[in-house]
Amino acid sequence: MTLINYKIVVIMLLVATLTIVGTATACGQAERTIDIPTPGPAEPTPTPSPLSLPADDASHNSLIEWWYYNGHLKNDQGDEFSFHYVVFSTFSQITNRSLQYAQMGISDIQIREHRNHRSSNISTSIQNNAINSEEDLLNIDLGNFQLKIDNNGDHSLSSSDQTQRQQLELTLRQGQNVMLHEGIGWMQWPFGWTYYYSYPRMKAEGTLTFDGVKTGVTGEVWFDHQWGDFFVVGKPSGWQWFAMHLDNGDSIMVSEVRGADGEVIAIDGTLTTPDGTQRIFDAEKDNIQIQQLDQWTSPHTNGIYPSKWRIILEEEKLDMILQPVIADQEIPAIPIGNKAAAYWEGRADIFDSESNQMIGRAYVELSGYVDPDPLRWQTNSR
Amino acid sequence: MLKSKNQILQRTANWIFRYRYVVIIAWIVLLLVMLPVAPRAQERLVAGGFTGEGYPSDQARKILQEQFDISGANIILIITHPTLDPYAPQFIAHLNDVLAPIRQHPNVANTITHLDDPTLISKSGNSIVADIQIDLNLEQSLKVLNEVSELLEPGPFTIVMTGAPPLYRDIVLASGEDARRSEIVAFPLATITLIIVFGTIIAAFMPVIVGGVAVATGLGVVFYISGIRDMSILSFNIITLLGIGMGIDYSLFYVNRFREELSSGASIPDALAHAHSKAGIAIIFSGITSMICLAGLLLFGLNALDSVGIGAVIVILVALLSALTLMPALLAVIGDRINRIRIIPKRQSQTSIFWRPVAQLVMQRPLLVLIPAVGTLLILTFPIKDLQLGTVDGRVLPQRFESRRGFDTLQQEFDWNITTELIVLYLFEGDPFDEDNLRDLYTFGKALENIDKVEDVTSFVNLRPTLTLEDYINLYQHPEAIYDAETLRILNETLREGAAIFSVSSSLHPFSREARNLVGHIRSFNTKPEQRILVDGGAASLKDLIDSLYGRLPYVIALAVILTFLAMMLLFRSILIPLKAVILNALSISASYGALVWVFQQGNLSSVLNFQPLGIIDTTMPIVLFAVIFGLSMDYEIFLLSRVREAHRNGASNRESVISGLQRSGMIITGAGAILIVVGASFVLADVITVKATGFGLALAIFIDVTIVRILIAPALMSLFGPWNWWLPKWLDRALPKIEAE
Repeated sequence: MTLINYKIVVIMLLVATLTIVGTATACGQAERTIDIPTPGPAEPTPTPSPLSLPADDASHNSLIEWWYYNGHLKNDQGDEFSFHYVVFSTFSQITNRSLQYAQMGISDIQIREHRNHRSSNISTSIQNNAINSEEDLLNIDLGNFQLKIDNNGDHSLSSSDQTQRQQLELTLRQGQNVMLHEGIGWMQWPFGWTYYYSYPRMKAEGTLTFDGVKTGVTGEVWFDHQWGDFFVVGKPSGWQWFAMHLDNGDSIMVSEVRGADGEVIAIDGTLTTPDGTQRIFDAEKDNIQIQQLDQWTSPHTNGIYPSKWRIILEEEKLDMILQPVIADQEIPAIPIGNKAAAYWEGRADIFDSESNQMIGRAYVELSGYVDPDPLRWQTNSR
Repeated sequence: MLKSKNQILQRTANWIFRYRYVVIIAWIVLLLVMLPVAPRAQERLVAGGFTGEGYPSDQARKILQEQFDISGANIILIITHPTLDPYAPQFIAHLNDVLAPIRQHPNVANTITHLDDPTLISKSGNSIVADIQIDLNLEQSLKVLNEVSELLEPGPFTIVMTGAPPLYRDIVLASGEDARRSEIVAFPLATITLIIVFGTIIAAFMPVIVGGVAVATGLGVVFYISGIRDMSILSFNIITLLGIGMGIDYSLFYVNRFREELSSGASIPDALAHAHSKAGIAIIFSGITSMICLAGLLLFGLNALDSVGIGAVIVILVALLSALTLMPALLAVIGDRINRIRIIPKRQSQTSIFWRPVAQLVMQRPLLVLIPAVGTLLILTFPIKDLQLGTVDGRVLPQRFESRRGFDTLQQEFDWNITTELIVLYLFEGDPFDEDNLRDLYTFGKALENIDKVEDVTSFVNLRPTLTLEDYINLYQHPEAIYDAETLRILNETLREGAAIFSVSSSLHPFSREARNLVGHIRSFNTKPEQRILVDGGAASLKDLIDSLYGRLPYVIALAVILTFLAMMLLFRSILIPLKAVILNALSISASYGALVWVFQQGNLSSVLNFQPLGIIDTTMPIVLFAVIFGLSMDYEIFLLSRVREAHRNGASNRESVISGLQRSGMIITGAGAILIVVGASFVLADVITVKATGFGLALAIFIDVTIVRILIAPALMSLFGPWNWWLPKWLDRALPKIEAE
């Protein structure tokens, strides 16, 4: 073999390699890029449709929804109890699943003792299959909590806690006219919008077992139903909410909502008289004033809650002092979600601020008073 | 007279004859070094290696792993209690007992249950998923899988373990079992085939020695290499397969030639010298072309393919060396005892009984043979048009594996369907809640929502369609205060300083071209200079793999084809014959690809072959099959043509030289092919579908090659080409080095 033979082979290999590399380079395409388009407007907030009751007592596939009851009951012996009972439902558009859970607090007014418990189960289902039924408008079974609203709009609720040997079973019938907040039962919320109506004085009848002693009870119950696309945000955001049963038969809702920076952004109120007349308060025109007179620090969460209020409804010539019956009526957060979602929900007595005469009973809800933990990654990065 | 190389080969044969015992002892010493470590090679080999360093999805995965503890290597526990509701306090208490020790493991980054994500409850409501996130990549996670398994105390629960690491481990286990099962079936059948080909026990035993030496030495070398770099478990299979295949091929050819020389009256040294110079040169070129094809796998930049390439080149080199040194040394010792212990009665002109008439028939009516034969191959090729590349999932495993049963339960009970789920990583500078960043991220989130075929986008700025940028700015003044569990989870899991995850869902199949286009679309968005968009997820990984592998494949094929063409041109002094060889190889490979698609992707014959079709062909399979089949096919082509060329050089006409070549090599090629078909077909009994498909593809391709291509099409074409078979421009003939046998 001569040298030239090897040269030829080397040249052939070189040509082959160069051809391939050259073709590969020539075939390489420059990457195409696209500018990120400017987004169009967000989907408009739906125009509120008129409420249809009792049909709208049923569940809706909303980001959040709740059926809330508070009431003041008397047993056969004349002993007084107050309670709140709430079923929350959240619906995720991401997972297309709804999730329900419930909580209850009950206060024995005689012995000034407050207890609370939550549903043993948290129910999840595709859409709202688990709670919408053909026979009833609503039928929720969370193990130790059951809530049913039939097609006539009658409600029945029950809750039990074996450990504390307590149980409540009530049937509720319509009393006072429905209270449509903001006049149409719909309102803007700091982080979204919500439908909101109340039956302020449902007639309640049933049984209550407290410390294992079961007695018949009757009383009046405030029912709230709220649903919509809104976010509940805690401290410094939050609210104070007052549901008042005045002895003269008037029912009043007053709320004060704080925005993202903790500043008060809305004060609302609705009054329903025994004859069904409804009045929507205008915060400025009616000069609604909510003054905090005292505070209470939770030993459970270190949350600092207001605990005594002076509420003035100038147009109604009402100047009231609301005094919690028991200081510690805090409800712990459920095991899923934000640990700061504890809230204070309790019975307060209403006094006329001038005469100091008791003029009614109220339920007060205080949300957004517990310091939230930072997000996990914020903790790590700090 | 033999020129240059052949003279060298003859001298080598003489030297080996003289020092035969030294050569044998040298190989024994080498074997003594390799044998203790060869069985341990498998322990050092690693699973995986299907992600290339530098793939865009790999870059995303590294950031996801480092910053978000998302590795994709999640161990999934499906936990069932016979009576308790998943939210019952006792259930939660027991669950915490089960998970507490696992959470303590240093490599467990996070454990997500139904308490964090309500979708982790089964449709029937009695089972939950605990998603254990390991902070290691998939390959590394296998190392901690056993430790996590040992920490698992089910208590009152029934627990099924699945997820990527257990599935991966079981695929490796099942593949090993498949290999052992196939060995049990294949070895006796291969031995029987060898005995049929050679007729005598001793002759039949010789290829087994070369094959065995090649496998043992190859594994030993890989054992040492794996101490330096990661070597894929696939290299074990390829060494076993090619060690047996090539070892038997080379020694068959060599021993056959030696026996031919002996039977023609040559002395043992002369028979050895002739066999060495004539069969030896064919073996060398055959080995070189095979090594070229398989070394092409090193150009893909993928560890799994690198390992296959390295293992293959090593084992072919060892097979080549042992065939050219150990084999002649053994034959020098054995001499004419090679024909002892005859099992199959010797027949006069054994090879002429079948092959000569076949060759004559083909040469007489070349078109009559060619048209139906090529037509058959084209029909087999046709389903390639539907080829859908993908990556395997849990369905490759049989039901007896717990991880497979868990995989099915996740689909049936938890709706973990096989859809396109992309993890889009948006990198920026600073706090995600900073107003400028929020604006950019919100704009990007909306752009994702508006891409065709995107059905859902989940991120902290895609919570509700009614929310405006101003709403988000307002909402995120104190993001930690949001009560909603799902939103809080999104904020905790998808955000970091400088990075946000957008989960993009589409009902497109992740293996579809449209899904890969979707990945490309998202990656093509322009960002500010300090920002970047990275995409991970099944479709993104697959896109990167396909883009990388199949972007390079044409050039690797071209390189293999050109180098093979040149090598054959050098050997056979022809333009048309190498051209015909590479075209026929392409034809037999295409036909086997088509058949693979028809059977394993489309599910035809699935009941006969006992598998559940995946609807895809594994992305790397066509490439590995190309390299292996192209190399093996070239072996057969060189064996055939070297005999044809030899007859032609001895003065036979074109027709007679083809008939003679086929007559003399037909039995050897068919025998060698039959052994590999047996080995390949034995993998059809495998449990793992990819192993089954690889075995099927190999067996079918070789069957097509040694029957339709080598016996029918090749001689028919040579008949049609006539004298053009050996045409080479005079200037080229003069220029090329002369290395052939005269």
